[in-house]
Amino acid sequence: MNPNQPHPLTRDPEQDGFWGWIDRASVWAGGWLNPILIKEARQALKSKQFVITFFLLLASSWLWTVLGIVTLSPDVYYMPSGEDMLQGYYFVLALPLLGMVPLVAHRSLAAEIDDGTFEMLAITKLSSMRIVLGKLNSALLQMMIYFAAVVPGLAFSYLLRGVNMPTLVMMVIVVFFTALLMTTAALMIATLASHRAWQAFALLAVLGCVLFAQFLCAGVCLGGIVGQDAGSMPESWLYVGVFGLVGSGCMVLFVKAAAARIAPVTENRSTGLRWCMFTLQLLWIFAMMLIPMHYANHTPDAYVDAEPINFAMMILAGFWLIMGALMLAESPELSPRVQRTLPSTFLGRMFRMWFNPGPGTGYMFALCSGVAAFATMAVFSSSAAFLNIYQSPSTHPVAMALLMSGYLIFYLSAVRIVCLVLGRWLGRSFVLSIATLAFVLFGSAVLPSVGSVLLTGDLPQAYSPLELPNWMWTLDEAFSRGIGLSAAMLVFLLGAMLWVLNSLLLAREFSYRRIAEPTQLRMEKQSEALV
Amino acid sequence: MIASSWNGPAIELQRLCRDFGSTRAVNDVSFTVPPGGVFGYIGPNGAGKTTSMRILATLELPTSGDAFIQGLSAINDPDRVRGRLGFMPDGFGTYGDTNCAEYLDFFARSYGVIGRDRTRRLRRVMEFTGLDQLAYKPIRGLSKGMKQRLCLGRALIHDPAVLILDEPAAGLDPRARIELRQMIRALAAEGKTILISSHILTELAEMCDSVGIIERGCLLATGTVEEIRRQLRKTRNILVRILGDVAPAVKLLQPHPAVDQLEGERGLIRFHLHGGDDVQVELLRILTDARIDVLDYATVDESLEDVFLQITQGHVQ
Repeated sequence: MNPNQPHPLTRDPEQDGFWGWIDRASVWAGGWLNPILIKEARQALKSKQFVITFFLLLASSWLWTVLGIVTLSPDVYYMPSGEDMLQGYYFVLALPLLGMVPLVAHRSLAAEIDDGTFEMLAITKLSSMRIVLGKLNSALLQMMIYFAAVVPGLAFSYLLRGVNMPTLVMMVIVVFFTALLMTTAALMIATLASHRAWQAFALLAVLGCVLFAQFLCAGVCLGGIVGQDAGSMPESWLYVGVFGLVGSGCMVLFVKAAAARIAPVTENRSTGLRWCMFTLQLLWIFAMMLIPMHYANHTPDAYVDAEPINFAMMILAGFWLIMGALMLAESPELSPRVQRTLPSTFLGRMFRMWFNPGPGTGYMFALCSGVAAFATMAVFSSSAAFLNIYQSPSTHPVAMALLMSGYLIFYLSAVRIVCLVLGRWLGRSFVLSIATLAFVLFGSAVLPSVGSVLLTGDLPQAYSPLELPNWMWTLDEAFSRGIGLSAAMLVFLLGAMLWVLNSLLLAREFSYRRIAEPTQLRMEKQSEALV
Repeated sequence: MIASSWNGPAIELQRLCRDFGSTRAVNDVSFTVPPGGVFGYIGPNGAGKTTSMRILATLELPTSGDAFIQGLSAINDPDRVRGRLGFMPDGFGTYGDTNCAEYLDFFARSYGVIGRDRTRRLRRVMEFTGLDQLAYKPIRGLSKGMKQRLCLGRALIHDPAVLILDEPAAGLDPRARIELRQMIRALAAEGKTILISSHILTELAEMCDSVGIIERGCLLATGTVEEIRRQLRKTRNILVRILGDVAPAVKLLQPHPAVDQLEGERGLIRFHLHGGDDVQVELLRILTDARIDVLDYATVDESLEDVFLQITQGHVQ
């Protein structure tokens, strides 16, 4: 490095021959890479944190190899000891991948916002999605480098026998996948906290996620995959595939949410996210139907167990409640930029209007998607019952679908009404929506008990229809003794009444029409199209 | 640089308002800057300059109104505006562990400048800003002046048509300030449209084709310095140099109804004149008819600082 020489970045590759060609090709290819990835890679290679982590990992890997052989001797020379060795290598790999990488990705994005460098990025041509993807790619690159340091150890475990290749591959896939999922979640959490006070909470949330993931992944990988030799069982691959599919949907949702948070507010930040939620729902329904169908085909009794489908409905109701509450925080005003892209045809307006940004459309989108999903799952279970390949769950799927629809409509409608009132003083925010949701859920869960104490002086001893607002007890009842169709219908009707009240306040958002593009913009687009 | 068929103003603010809680930081501000123009944005601290510049730079949203760069809205088409705009903020974050060349290379890539274009732009910008000697130096080791050069280089890396420079000379030593001024002059000579804010009004007066004076969010005056002077000018400052005693001349001028605040000593007479060119000529004639030896009879121009002080009242929000 001679300061008097021009910097290599300011010189074109001029060398002839094969190496010159390689040089030119790599410069050309580098031009198409995400700039954030290049910057982060340059920074990481210079950072002490990366160098220390990498060498610590390398040293731990070698240290475990030596320690493992010493402790397992002399059995290691004639008994299969790969499984024992692999447990040590698992921790050497999982600790940085599930711990360090998500935390570094979180800090990297949070620091951009905190240090004021994000503003400089925001005025470039990089879209918010490319910024988030750049951070994710750089996390992936770090994961690959860390993995490379542990590969010899993993190969060594395999050579010691006792662990087969599919199990080894499955373990690595699960660790990598969980690390990626945690990284996307960490990136999303980084965008939620723009003030220093909130950043501490955000960091705590990431730490919590990371610890939970470490615990869960260790249980799954060591107890489930390595311990049970899951790689050789096709069922395990089905589970990995199905949860991988749903997990991928979650990853895309997290990445899109992070990008939406840092995008300009005049941009349409909602439609893409709604498509993503919708796709995630489809994946969830597919996964939850596939597993009972698989068992129906592979067990001697050949029945469809509907209990997991009821469970899937409950998870989905929770998903749409949270997503619906978040969408309630959107602004009802559409920027001219968004209005330019609204559907203009009758059919377009009919089917795509629910994807337009806004709290009203978001509310309807969450309700319609949730109810449609519950109906689909109930129809699936009912058709299995019709075909006589059905094991009856505690609560009939139709009753469960009505109950879940009723709860979703009731609670989301209540949250919307409360947010509309409070929003006048506090302004719209996702914190308000989520806090309101938590308050409404908690309030309705304790309301019957409070009523009982006030009226009888004692807590209720047994479940009765009066406990229907208490969703916790009702769900417990639904999965133990079962809930009748009439009780589910009652919840649905209560929800429908609140929906009617809400629907009166929706008209404004549905009155938005597509507007024309400004002349200058239209001319530019035309000239670009010609080029 | 993005080719544009736009023939209108390069920068346009239309009835821009921006509220921060109960404070109106920018209040109904409108002005235009023609292509190739250099517009000086003047105002005391907290006047609303930075807020309106940040709105133009697509970093803030107005409460109402719109801002345009080459006919494209900074509010509704920020992604298209960003390619044509170079923004140099008052304070900015940097990546301390990267060096100058890497920093500029990163921003060139971020603006979509690739291949040989990128290396050419890097060479050009580093040479222009004098950073070629500091290419290997980590940013955390740069002085304030060098960081300002780097920030200007970053703003220029994609060869934008419009530059927004917020207090580029703040905190610089005199030499760095002069060098920065030369750079801005060179950019103006290249035909770039520049919107610049500064507290050093004498420098702005030399560089700018027109200025806008803003206080408490309101644009108080716009136009060339001369136009603003003329708008303000209810009186003219007249300076008369006399050979010999000034007392007879003072005696002649004092009673005239157009003369105000007359002072005379050691061969010099200063007064404010109410009226136009005809009255000024009439007064000269009075002196010459009385055979007073007039060496000099001139209107004294007010500096931009005088104009600024006359227009603003020193209110801070």
